[in-house]
Amino acid sequence: MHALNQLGRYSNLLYQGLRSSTEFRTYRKNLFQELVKIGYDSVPIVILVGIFTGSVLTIQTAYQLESGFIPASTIGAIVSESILIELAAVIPALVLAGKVGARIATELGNMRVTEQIDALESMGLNSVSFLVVPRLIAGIAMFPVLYIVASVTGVGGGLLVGHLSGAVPTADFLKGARMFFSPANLVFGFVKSYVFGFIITSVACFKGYYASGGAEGVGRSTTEATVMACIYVLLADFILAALLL
Amino acid sequence: MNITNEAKVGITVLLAAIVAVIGFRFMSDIPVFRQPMIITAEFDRADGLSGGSLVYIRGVRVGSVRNLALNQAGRVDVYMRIDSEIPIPDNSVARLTSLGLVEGKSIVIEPGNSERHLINGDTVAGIYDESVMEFLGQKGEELGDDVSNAIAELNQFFMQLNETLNDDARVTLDQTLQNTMQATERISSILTGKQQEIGQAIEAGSRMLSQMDTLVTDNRPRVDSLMTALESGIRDLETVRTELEQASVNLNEILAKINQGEGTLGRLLNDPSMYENLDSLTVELNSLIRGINENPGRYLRHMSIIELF
Amino acid sequence: MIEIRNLSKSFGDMLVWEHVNLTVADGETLAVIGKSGCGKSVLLKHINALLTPDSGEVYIDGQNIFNLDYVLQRKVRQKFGLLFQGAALFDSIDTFENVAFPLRYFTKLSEKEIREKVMQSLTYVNLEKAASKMPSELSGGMKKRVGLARAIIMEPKYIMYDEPTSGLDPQTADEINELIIFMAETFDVTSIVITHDMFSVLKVADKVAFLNDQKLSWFGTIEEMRLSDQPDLTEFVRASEYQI
Repeated sequence: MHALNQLGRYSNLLYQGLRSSTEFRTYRKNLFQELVKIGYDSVPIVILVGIFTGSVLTIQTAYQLESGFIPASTIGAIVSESILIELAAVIPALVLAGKVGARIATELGNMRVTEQIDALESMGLNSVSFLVVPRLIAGIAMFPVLYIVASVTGVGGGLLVGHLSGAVPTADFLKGARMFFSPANLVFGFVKSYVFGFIITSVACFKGYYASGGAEGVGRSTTEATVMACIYVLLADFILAALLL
Repeated sequence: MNITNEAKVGITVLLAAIVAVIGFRFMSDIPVFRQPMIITAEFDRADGLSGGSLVYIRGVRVGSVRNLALNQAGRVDVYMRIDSEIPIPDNSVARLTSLGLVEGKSIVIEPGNSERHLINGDTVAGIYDESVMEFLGQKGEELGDDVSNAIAELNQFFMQLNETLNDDARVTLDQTLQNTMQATERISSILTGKQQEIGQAIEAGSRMLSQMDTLVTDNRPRVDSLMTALESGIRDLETVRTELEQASVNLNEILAKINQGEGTLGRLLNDPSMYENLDSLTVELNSLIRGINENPGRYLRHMSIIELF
Repeated sequence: MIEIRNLSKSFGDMLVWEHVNLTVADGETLAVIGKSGCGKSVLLKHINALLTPDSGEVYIDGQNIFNLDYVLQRKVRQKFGLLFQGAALFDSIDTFENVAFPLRYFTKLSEKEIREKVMQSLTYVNLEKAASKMPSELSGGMKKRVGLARAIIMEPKYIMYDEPTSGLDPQTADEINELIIFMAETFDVTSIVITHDMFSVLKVADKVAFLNDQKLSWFGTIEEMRLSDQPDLTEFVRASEYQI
């Protein structure tokens, strides 16, 4: 019953967001602010995540396939395919569920409990349009960009570590990576990143927008937003894999 | 910071787009693997082929047609993009064909046996296969010729038949007739020699006839019905004749129509030689039928055994 | 004119109040008093449709605001200036921008005109020097004054104060009371003050509404309140006076 209630409120918030998404004048300024906070400001951490994902994957794959029968190019194929299909979308999403999701939930939750959202409404401003819409749009717009960053740094990191550790020669890595490279996998990765961007920002907005119970309530909302966003990201990952592959 | 938010967003998105494009090209545009090889095939004609048409080897798609252009020699150069890494012998032949009745044209490369392989920019020979419809059209023409020949032969046969009936057969018939007359004379002399016996025989015959008369009188109804049946038989024969006549008229009409007809059949039948054949056949037939009509006895008299009596 | 008719509200199973009838004439200052948690702020948020009642109507200048669609409701809200309990300043922007905020979104004034208006408004609340400070750098009383400067920037017809003096020292509280009177006299606005501070009530209000026991328990002028012998009201007033 509680879950259904929550789902209803969540849908209602999204509906209001959709309806007020035409009030561009209201959220234009906030949109660019959010695009910077979600996109630009997340680039360093996503680069870091990408490089480490690629590196670790290369080393571990090389370790597991160390039999001599399997050509080194297989490692390149496995690493680049895994990164492009799955890891470049999911791992940054999980990290950003903490970074972006927690920030959004805290911001909105704090605005809710200190009556700033009421203040916006009392001035005659549409608070959903002002606060939720720019965050949702920024999430949907910027996560694919971050997916590109993570893909490139991930494959690049794998290539580099393979070369430095001597586990996989660059030529072999590239040979394998190119052999299985297909635009369809990229499309799949992009779809995932869109969905994850939407999930993280919408869950965080929902939890923050309907926060209650003072500072403690904001903390609870933030935790819930982060945890729920992670769970839904993994769930969506599974559903998308089942649907699209 | 004097960089506006808009500028930051712009920088981020632009850099990501550039990196994405470079990465994509790097991953898919490779000198060794999957480099698209362009091969040219020269055809007499390329009806139905267009850019994007597929290229097959043994039923497996290996590439597509990029574009086609007329060359200096007035033939068609078809540029094909081969994506497959499989080497293709350089004496392979490209066959422009249609795989199905309704599908568009595609190119099937039939690998040769050469040790050397095609490389980028090579040219292979092209063969233009007719499609099923074109094949059918050609067959239709052949069929028309066959029919024409058959009718000519038939015509000849009828002419020979007519000739036979007119000359040789007449002689033969006359001989037969003379033989018969001689036989009759001989019978007559025999009859003269045996007059008495004949008289007795007539007497006996007379008796027999009177007996037959009574017999006939007694069996009158049966004889009547026999006569009726014979009559109706004759009527039926008459009807058959009328129908035959009608059929002949119909045939004439059909021939006339076909004479004026158009299309493949028209072409088929408007072939003047065939028309002439048919025409002369009709004339011959007509003269034959007229001959029978005007003087049936000429053909049938000698065969009539009833006149012997 | 604000008319509240037969208004009832409950959160889930918990009834806040029911059958509230109240009228505020133009130019009046109404004080809504009552114990903490009796639903004073909830009543205030119904007056500009921040909350929706279970039943009943609120007429603002003859218009039932709950019958309006969201866009028109927002137009009606712009007739109100609202000073929140915690001032509800936007903590990501400075004092000046907080006060300028409604002007930027609802007017097409030039930057110069905005500056003039904001500084004028800040002068009313004696905070022209704090224009560039962030809300986190302001004290409680200053925040309320900035909030008030923001509430009047759109020249509203009605100003509503949610606990304007709570959490302030008596001197600062009195400054706020003076400001409430100043605003009412200078701009001829209708004010609704929600408070449990009887000193403030006696100073600023023309009429008093007493919320108690999940209903509007008493409603009348200050003089009538002094003379009233309704037990719960006299008890509440006396408790407040002892507090001073």
